[in-house]
Amino acid sequence: MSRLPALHQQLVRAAHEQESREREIGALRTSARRLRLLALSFAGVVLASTTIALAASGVIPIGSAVPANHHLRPGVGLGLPEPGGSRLLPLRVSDPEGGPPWGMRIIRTSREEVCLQVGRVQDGQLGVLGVDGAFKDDGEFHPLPLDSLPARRPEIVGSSVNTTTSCFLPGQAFIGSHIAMRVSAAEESLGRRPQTAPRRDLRDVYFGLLGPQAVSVSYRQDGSQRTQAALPGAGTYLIVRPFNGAEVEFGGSSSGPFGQLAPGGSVDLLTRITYRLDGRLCERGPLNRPAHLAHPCPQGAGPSHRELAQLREHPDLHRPVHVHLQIHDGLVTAADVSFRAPYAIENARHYYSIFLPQPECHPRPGIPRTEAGAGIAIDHNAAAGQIVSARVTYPFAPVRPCMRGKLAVQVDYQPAEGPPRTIVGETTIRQPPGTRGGPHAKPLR
Amino acid sequence: MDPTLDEDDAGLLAGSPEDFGRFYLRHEDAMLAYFLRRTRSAELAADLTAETFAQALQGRRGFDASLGSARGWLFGIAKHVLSESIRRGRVQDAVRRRLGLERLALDDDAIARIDELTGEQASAALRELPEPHRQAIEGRVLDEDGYDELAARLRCSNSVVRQRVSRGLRMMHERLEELT
Repeated sequence: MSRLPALHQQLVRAAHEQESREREIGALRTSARRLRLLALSFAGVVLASTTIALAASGVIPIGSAVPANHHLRPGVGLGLPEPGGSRLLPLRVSDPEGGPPWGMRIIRTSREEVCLQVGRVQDGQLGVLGVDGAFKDDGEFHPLPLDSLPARRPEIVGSSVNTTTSCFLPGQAFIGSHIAMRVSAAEESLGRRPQTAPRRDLRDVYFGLLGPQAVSVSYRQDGSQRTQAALPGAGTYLIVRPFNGAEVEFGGSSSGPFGQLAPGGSVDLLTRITYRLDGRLCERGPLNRPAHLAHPCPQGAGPSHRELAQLREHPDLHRPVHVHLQIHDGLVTAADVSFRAPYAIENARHYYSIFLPQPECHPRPGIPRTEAGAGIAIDHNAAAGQIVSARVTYPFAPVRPCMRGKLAVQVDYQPAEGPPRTIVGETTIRQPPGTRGGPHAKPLR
Repeated sequence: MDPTLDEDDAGLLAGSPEDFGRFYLRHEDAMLAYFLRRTRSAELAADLTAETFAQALQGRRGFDASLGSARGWLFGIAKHVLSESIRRGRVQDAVRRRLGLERLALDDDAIARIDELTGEQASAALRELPEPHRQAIEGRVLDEDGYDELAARLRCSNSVVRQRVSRGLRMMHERLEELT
């Protein structure tokens, strides 16, 4: 008997969906392999010669640069690359099928983001290869200019995840992975991978920046433990492996303070990070397997009561918040939220966000309300006193049943130095009777 | 932990959707209790539990039984979910949304069922322990930390930690007997 039967049912249903997705991907891979074999059998001369040229020579012709991203703005999203703030790291990792090695570049931006960009390296340049559909299979090396960065952080643009660049804030350690990345290293949208590529053209890429205390990272491959030294200084590492096929997700990331970040997340290869802390070597393992470490690093004290309390308690400035609903053909498609910024935003370290709390249906006296809900971050700079606006799509789609078309809209300010989050202001909106909250929802009575 | 259960857990993780459901049922109470102790809110505990199992579902193909128990792996995810939620100042729900899991709507009965896990008397008995014994029991029993890890954190030897856990549990047991 479950205490949360609805969650149990949903998890089983999601597991079924996961299984059918795996079957579908397996079938697509099989058919893609068959098509590839057919192509090689009947007309494979061109394809084969390209691959052999890549593998054998290691040097391929330089083609046109990857086009610049004209959507980059200094005060929006990731911002612009800072002049002199970028360098190609001296990390080179060979690809299982040969060709130019993989490498990584660090880019600092005008909004104080630090980005790690993964690609292939030739002649001291980071770039992508014109194979497997990229650059019309021209077989050339295409350098990546600095301004080819994505305009925004991947999680903000939703499904069009840039597959080669991960950004985080300076002073943080970062662990990331790109699962089923194209061998070309060319950027493409999340929805296109890995269904359209033969398995042999996909790679699982694991990388990170662990800070000056990092000495090495360890991981398992082919049944044995392997260790890669972290690059002195920044503590970066890069691991490239053939797509293992067991993962149907697209990668993940985690971040934390230098010297304290442990392997983690559901898509991480690392079994151990070795740090030098206070002059002594010690190890951090995934949070679930500390017993396997010979010299575990001292643990932090864990979240304090104050930090836990901050999950529930925030100062409130009680500033006015305005909302205008967009309704088309009886469907509430969006809520345009606007407010006057109480504080200036000069970089990505702090930001405003719109939060739609979904409060407990059964609040109890003495217990503060939970912070579950949906939200969007407003990822651009703003002057103090400026009117800031943002659009929340389908605001009434994911509400708890007891809310009955009534929704709080909360504007938050997340300061640069972590919690506490400040509530700028809050208002309540109501779904007009007869309208639908989502494309598949019933009209509200 | 019973090694047979460990094997079962690994099998359930690698198995059918219904097996994953059984894995959920087996560890539901432990997860809810873990979050309940830290947040003191049944709804917050339910939301954090949902995200933890969503991440477990997403990552189950990557679970390697040779590296540790499934229960430990699950607690690792739970710790990560809790620390990320604290860092961001709100409950993490990205994977739940990606998997299409709906928001949980808890009725009074569900909240009462979760609150049963609070174990008020046990919590009171734990609070009454001397600080070193309480820390050792919280680390070992509630957080499932390894003795080596705990020893490093509490800056004492492995055997001292074992002693504190053992003595602390005995003191709690005696106190609970008094209370009942």
